[in-house]
Amino acid sequence: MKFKFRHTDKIVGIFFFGALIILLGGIVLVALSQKMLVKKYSFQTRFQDAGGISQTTNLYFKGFEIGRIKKFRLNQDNLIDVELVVYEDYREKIIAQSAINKSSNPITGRGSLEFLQGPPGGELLPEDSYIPSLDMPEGKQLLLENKIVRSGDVISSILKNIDDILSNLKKDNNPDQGAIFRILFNLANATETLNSDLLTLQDLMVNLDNRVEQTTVRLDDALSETTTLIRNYQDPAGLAVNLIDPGKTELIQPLHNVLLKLDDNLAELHGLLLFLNQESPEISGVLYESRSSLQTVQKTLQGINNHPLIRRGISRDSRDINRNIKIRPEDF
Amino acid sequence: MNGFLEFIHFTAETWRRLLTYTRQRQASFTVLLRQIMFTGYEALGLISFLALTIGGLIILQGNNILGNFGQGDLIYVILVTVVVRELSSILTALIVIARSGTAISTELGNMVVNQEIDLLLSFGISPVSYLVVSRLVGVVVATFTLTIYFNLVALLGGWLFSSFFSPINFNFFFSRLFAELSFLDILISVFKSMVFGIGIALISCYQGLKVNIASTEVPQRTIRAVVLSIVFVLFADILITLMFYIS
Amino acid sequence: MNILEVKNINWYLEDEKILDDIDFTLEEGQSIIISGTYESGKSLLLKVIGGITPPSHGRVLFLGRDVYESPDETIDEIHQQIAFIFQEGALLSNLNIRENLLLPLKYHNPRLDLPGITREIEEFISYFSLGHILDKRPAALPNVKKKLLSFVRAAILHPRLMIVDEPLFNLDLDNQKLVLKLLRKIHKSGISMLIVSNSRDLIKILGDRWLVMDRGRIVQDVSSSDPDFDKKLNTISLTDLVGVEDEI
Repeated sequence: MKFKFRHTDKIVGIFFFGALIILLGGIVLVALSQKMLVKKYSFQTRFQDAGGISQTTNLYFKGFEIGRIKKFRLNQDNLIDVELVVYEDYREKIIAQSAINKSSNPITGRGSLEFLQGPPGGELLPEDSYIPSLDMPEGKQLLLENKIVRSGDVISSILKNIDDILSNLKKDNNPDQGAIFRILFNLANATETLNSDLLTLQDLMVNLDNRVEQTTVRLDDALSETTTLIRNYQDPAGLAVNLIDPGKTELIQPLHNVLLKLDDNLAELHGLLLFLNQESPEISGVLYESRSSLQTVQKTLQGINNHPLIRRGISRDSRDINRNIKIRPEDF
Repeated sequence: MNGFLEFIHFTAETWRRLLTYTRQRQASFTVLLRQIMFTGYEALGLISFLALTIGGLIILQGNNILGNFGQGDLIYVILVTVVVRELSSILTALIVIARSGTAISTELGNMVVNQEIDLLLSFGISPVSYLVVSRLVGVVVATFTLTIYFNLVALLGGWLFSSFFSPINFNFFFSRLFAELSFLDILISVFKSMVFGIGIALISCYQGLKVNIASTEVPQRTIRAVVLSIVFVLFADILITLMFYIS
Repeated sequence: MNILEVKNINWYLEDEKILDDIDFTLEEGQSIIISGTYESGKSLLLKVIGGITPPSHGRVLFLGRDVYESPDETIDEIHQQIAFIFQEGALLSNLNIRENLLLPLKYHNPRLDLPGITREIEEFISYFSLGHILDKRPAALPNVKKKLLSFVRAAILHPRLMIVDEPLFNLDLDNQKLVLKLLRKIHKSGISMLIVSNSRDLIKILGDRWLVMDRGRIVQDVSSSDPDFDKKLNTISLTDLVGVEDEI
């Protein structure tokens, strides 16, 4: 107790100035880590939107942090004017026909800027000059002309795509923006209809198979009978014929011609039906395969469609599908 | 409403006396040193313990949740957002209210009861300049200082607990952390602690001096001081956050 | 020359009138003793005059300057010339005795002649036989010692006016004598005094003028040169103006 009262001033001094030193140290470290003491050069660029960028977004070149965004604002043409700073060490990288690419991490929403250097030997860009971004036509032109190469950052481009899809999905409440979602929904419904149509078609095919066979057999019979009949008529030496048409011109000849024609047609039909009968298992197979792959698609789409957050979950109708599938192999 | 106007008047008087504080010489300086000693230095242990465990808990929870998403890097963002921006100043303020806010209003209340305030007035010593100003400066300095120590210890605690999960280089941890930290964060942490200190000191002193005659008023005024200080700290925090981060 | 002018002091507690139009003057070097019942408002009047409790109406002038309505520097100066001794001998509980005694001096004069003052303090301490108490805290002392210390603190201020509330209250006979001797010595050196007491002895020894208060009003104002002074003084032991000291 005595100790504390006698040395109050010293203890309080150390206590207070210690904290001040820590505070100053912290400020210096922040300044160093944010390159505040490094000389910076200012440049301009422009984006279509400000998604993913903030006051602390960094500019990278070949994975190195070479600068960062200083400020950005929405201009009169609804584009984003961005002021960038580039650290002194990397100033000579900023050459003519370079561009800037903006990508953002869809999960954190944080973006980063990538500097795409122009063709080697380009002129050093003066301070405050405009560097096009790939958002803008002039930047895309540079890319088309192969002046710059977009870095092969696969993951970031995948993430970018996912980001686009996710952001489209997110916009379902906006009637103009929920296109993908609605397409998926409609597709799922369409598949469902298609599936039932296919089942009907399949039943039809089975029936058709049987009927074709029966018809073919009947036609065969009919054909042979007809052939016999025609043969008989080709030599009409019977009494009745002689009695009705002794010259064989009034009745026999026309009938003979009709029968010959029918014979031809029946043979053609027979060939056609035979072909159909032979080919129908194949057609059925194709139909079966397409149907089962469509079922898979449908299940997937139904899964998405019936996502717990959206609807009920995947329905338990696989039993019906299995029964239908079992029928088919017996037909082969 | 009357009480509020009186408090505003009291605040203005304290401010006026603060500006002439340099004329206040030796006597008040001793009071000031003792106030910093009591409110600041003697609370350092408690503050450090709290900061260490809070920093550790944030890392434990953060690693648990963020690790599942592969977003372990966000731990630095969370440390900065939660500790530096919010918890350091709020928790320090709560500790200061619990220890010093109560002590100040009790002490001043008892001084009124024991006629010590009248005594000061008879000496021509303004109780506001002798008692309130030195306590105000003392509490503000102590809260400010404690908040800085809280930040330091909490961030160190964060590193320490991170090392339990996977050994992490000290320099790496702190370079990542400082990359997430901005001047604004530091500025606001410090600014908040000072605003909280001012509020706590003024409210506690005012409530203490509001005691009239009876010693039974002292605990009642102390409770009021605590409640109003907490309300003030939370409202001020919301306002400052809205002012700096949302706009 | 008037060191103190009390002009039409009124003091209200909500609607109740505690001090009712108090008006008197105190000449430099003079002493006034105020007597009265508990409810007479005499202690409150001292606080109003001493610059502690502002009046509802009226003014208090010290050497022609308003005790309340003056610039800070003037008020500081006024207070340096008035020593106020409380009935209970209030001391600041968070300072030790030495700090307590030096506080008013140090506060107003940073460049204090500390050795000279310390010598003076030690003389008074031995006068009251207080022993080694300078490094103690007020809480460690009996009330009697606290009361005596408040006389020490007032004496070393070398004020022009001393305001004393019940100087003999709470003291044994020996200490009463010591206090009376000290006050008389101080008064003899030309310091004006305003004392609240119901002690006939004190009024006789120190009083140049005697005021009697009742329910916030001055009901009697007698000068010691008044031929009826002694006769009037004798009445107080028999009337309702009975002092605490006499009662004990």
